[in-house]
Amino acid sequence: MTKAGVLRQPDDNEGPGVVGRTLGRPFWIAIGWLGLLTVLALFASWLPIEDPNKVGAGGPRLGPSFSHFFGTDALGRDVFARTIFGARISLLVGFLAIAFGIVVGGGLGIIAGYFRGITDQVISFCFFTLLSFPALVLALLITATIDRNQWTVSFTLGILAVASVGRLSRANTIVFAEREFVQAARVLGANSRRIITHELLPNVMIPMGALALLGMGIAIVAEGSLAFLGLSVEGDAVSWGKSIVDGSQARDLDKNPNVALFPIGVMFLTVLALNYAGDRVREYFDVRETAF
Amino acid sequence: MRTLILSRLSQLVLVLLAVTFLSFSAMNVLGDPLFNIIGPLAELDCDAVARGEIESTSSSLDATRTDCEIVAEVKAEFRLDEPLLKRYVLWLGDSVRGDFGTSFASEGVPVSEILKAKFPASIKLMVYAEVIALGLAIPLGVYGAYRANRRPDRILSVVSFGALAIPNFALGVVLLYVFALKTGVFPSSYDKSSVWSEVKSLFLPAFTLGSGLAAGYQRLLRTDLVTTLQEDFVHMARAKGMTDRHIMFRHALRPSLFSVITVFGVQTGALIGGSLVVEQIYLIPGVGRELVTAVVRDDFPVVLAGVTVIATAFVVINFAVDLLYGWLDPRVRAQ
Amino acid sequence: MRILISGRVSLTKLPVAFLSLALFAGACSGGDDGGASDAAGSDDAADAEDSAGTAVVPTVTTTQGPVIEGGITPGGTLRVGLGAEVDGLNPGANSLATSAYLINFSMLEPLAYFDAEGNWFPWLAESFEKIEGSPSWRMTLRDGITFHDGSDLDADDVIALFNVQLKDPLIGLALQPSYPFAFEGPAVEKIDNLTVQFNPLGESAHFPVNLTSQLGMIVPSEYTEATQANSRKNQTLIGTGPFIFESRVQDDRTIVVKNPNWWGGEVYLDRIEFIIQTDTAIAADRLAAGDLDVVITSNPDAILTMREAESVRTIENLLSSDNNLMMNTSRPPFDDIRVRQALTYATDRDGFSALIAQGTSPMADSMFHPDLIWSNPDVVQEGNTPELAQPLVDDYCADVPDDCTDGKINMEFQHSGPSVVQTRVADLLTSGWQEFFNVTVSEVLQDQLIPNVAIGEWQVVAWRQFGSIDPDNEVIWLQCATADKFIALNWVRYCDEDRDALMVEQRQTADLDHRVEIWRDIQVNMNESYAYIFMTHANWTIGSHTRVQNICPQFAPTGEEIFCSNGGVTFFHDTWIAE
Repeated sequence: MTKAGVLRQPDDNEGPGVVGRTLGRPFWIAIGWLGLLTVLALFASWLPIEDPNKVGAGGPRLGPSFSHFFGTDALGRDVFARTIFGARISLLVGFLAIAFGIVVGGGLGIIAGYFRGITDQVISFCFFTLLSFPALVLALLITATIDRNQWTVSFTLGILAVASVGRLSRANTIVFAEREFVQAARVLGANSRRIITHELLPNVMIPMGALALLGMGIAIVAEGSLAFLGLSVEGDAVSWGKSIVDGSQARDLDKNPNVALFPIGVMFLTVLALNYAGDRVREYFDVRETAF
Repeated sequence: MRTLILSRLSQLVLVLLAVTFLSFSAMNVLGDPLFNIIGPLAELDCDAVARGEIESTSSSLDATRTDCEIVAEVKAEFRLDEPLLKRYVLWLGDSVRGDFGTSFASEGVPVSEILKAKFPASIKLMVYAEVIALGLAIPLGVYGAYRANRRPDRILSVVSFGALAIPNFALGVVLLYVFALKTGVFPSSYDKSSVWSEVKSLFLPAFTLGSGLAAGYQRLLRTDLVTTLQEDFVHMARAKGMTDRHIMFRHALRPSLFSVITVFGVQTGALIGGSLVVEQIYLIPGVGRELVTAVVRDDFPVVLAGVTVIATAFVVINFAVDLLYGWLDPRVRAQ
Repeated sequence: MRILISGRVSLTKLPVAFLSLALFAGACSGGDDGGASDAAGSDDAADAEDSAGTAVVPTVTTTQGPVIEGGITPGGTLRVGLGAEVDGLNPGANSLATSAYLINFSMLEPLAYFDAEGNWFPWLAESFEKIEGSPSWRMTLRDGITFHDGSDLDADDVIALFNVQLKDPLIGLALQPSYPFAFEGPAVEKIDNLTVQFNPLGESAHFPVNLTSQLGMIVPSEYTEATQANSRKNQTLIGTGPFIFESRVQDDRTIVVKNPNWWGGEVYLDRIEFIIQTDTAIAADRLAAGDLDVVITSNPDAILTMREAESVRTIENLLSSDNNLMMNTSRPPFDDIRVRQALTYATDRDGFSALIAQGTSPMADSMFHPDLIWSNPDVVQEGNTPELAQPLVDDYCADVPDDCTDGKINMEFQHSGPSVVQTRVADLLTSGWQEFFNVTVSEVLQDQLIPNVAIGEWQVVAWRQFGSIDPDNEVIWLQCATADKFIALNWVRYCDEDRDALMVEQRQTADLDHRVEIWRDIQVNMNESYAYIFMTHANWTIGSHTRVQNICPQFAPTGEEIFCSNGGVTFFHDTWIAE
């Protein structure tokens, strides 16, 4: 069993059009958008944009213009700057949360799915318990009682991710572990560790890659929801959720909808890009996608 | 089947114990129940008073009791000095009989009463959301699979993508603004004076919640259907001359629903959580909103009761889903 | 706090109780309606204990059109949107704010109230008489008035309620300075079935003004007893007023129905629904759309919406409470006047006025609006002069380096939330202060903020205060007696003996001009103590749909024209809905 065998297992159905598929143009557009956003967010401090917290950078409640691309909010702060700087928090939290979820959850899931037995029982039980908390409520419980900065919020969302990712990784592991090639490896005497790292990990982790992208989108939205309830990152830090809440009062939507709509738009495009990329990755590695 | 039921039941009980214990500990360890009951008097160092280092105070208008005596009484009544585990067990004993204690924040109102009053609205909202979701997803999923990779499918794909990418709260705010406040097509707040008014006033929130779900279900169903339609038995049926429609609905749909069913169970938990935000936006007097308020206020009894009931509901639903799963998939039945 | 009454432990009411307490007579964490404010009054018009004094008719801007011709059409339900909920309706146990006043005044009647010129007049009471040579006042009730439960109004009801209020750990705080426990003799005495004598500690020439608010709302003694035994009954109410309690769901709505046997005359509306809508900007939208009939708010966004809506009329009142910033003078760093001055100079009041108030309310130099006779035109609130702050900060940091980091003073600003407006206020203020201060902003739930302030666990907060029709009702927030307790109604805990003496003097004199002079001196004193930074005068607006007729003028049963919009508080017995 070679590494190349990851894509083609002898017992898979193979339909027409698998060989030679590419990820596609839209995929790269999505990646491009994400890359652009990341770059802007990283280098925000050095870019020629306003201080996002500067009250009165422009007149209050202005519409989009050349000096203020996205207009200004009720306190005269530049919405474009707030959106770019907001990307920092949102992207960071999203990334950290899902990374934590995949590493911890994915890892636990593989262990549970491969070893089964009591290990599986305990780990599954933990997942199930975590999943029995309404997600946002668990997040509430934690964030309402502790200091709220980007690390604690990421960690909180990460915990939520662990159970979902773990469940999926466990399920995938079970499926793969029963495949002939793994049975064969066992028979041939390969030890568990080798099997896990060489056979299961690649097979399970690739769908994880897709999940990572999708999960990041979910985490970004979750952070927004927490911000909406007033329970996200505290202090000066701007986040998309905070900007959206600020612009969502009935009167603001009426008079200057730009405050809420631009961050919503950027968040939407970002999550869309993540979802699309995740989906394409999954399709690319899943060979059974054909028409009726 | 029987072993399945039994094992799931025991799992249910264990999970509930774990959930409630975690919540109980979290609130008692991360928060300060004494402060929530008695307010600033909790800050008094009564040990120092006992040692004579600090003067005893009497801020209550009843001059016959000092502050430290009051603190002692409260601690005794709520058993705050006893070990966490013991307090948890006592709480558990009461809860099983339906007594969740009284709320810290509302004057002595029993928690069970508060929750009972708030549940109907939330349940209606969630059921409505699922109805909308499934009502949209199943037909569109079938259609998408039927026309897989052709134009209608691609359009549906794009639309469902879009729906998944929009956050609940953003959609909720925009819908409320456009359809309720500005154009008045729907009422702007929950109105339960008649069945029709409930249906109308809950539509926007239910749609907000349901649209994301619908998108997810649709994609899942469509994908699974496409896969199932690849299977040998379908090729056989076609060869035998069965119509597409017959194949689709009689043979392909049922096994394809597995993923949707599994996800349905998990989604209900997310639904409950998601309703928190939607209830806030549309000001629906439901459990979600009550829970948010209670958590932020450290109203422990309400939080514990809320989490317990919600977790129970969720676990029970998953239980039911498992059973359904087993009934639908003969391979599982055989295990 | 646990209160032990007659051996039985009664259930505590914190922290909600604290919330109520603070709202009791006009305190609030300002900026918007969250928490609402104003118990004792809105406008400061002139006052005298008899109507012979000079009165300034309050300037109330109204876009109210003329009454529709064609006569009054009785009937219908009035839907009133209110911004904040209260934990109960009982004047003897809950502490009431604007929302509660609106609800309660439909069912209860006060012993005395203010007429259109700001003078008090007896309402439920028939007359008040000061006893010569002593601080005592005798009040005679009207004969033949019955409560909704059929019982007669008599002295026992007044005394039962008063005693309960006095013993209440929260409401009692407001009464104790006048009726201290240590004082010999009963605080109230029954003279005969309809006559009650009050024996306050100090002389007052205008005693009845203290009975125009929660302290003057009368309920039957049976109700008082029943609620002491079972606090759940605080969610109901029995009074003598034009409407009768029907039902109440907390955080949702309270419903009252017409009292066909009201002694005060005919009532036109069949029903009033008081609906809680915490975001009054949304309430304003609903009003414009016809979903509500009346909305009462001080939220600038809501006011602007109501002003612009074709279908809405507004009655705006600028002469009531003010939005201000308070500094805790009992602990560092704000116990040092240099720090208070520095903060004052660095505060962006202009920004607040432009961006938060948005033109709905004028800037405030003191607690009195410039149109009121009490206002001292020479008193100016400082701010927006950051250059003056630097030397003070440097000075302080040299003396107390522990309170400073990197040359800036460390401070904490608390505000209530989650609230979009409060967050904006915090952002705005921080942006002005951060040149000189390291600002830690804490968002605290309203329920917790007010207890924090009450017990002194705070440094700087945005607040709303004052605004009584008669400034005598402000004394409680400014005197030394309430400054150093565990719970201090003098929130900033600033005690000035000279100021105390002035306040005693104004209470004892019947001479209006003299009182005005004294209050002007008090304003100078407040300005020079730098404990408050006044921002704007709050605009309390009553918005009503054009079909609602006659929000004002309303008339008391004995014919006096009632003060319209007392900080947003009004009555509804003369209101009707046009077809």
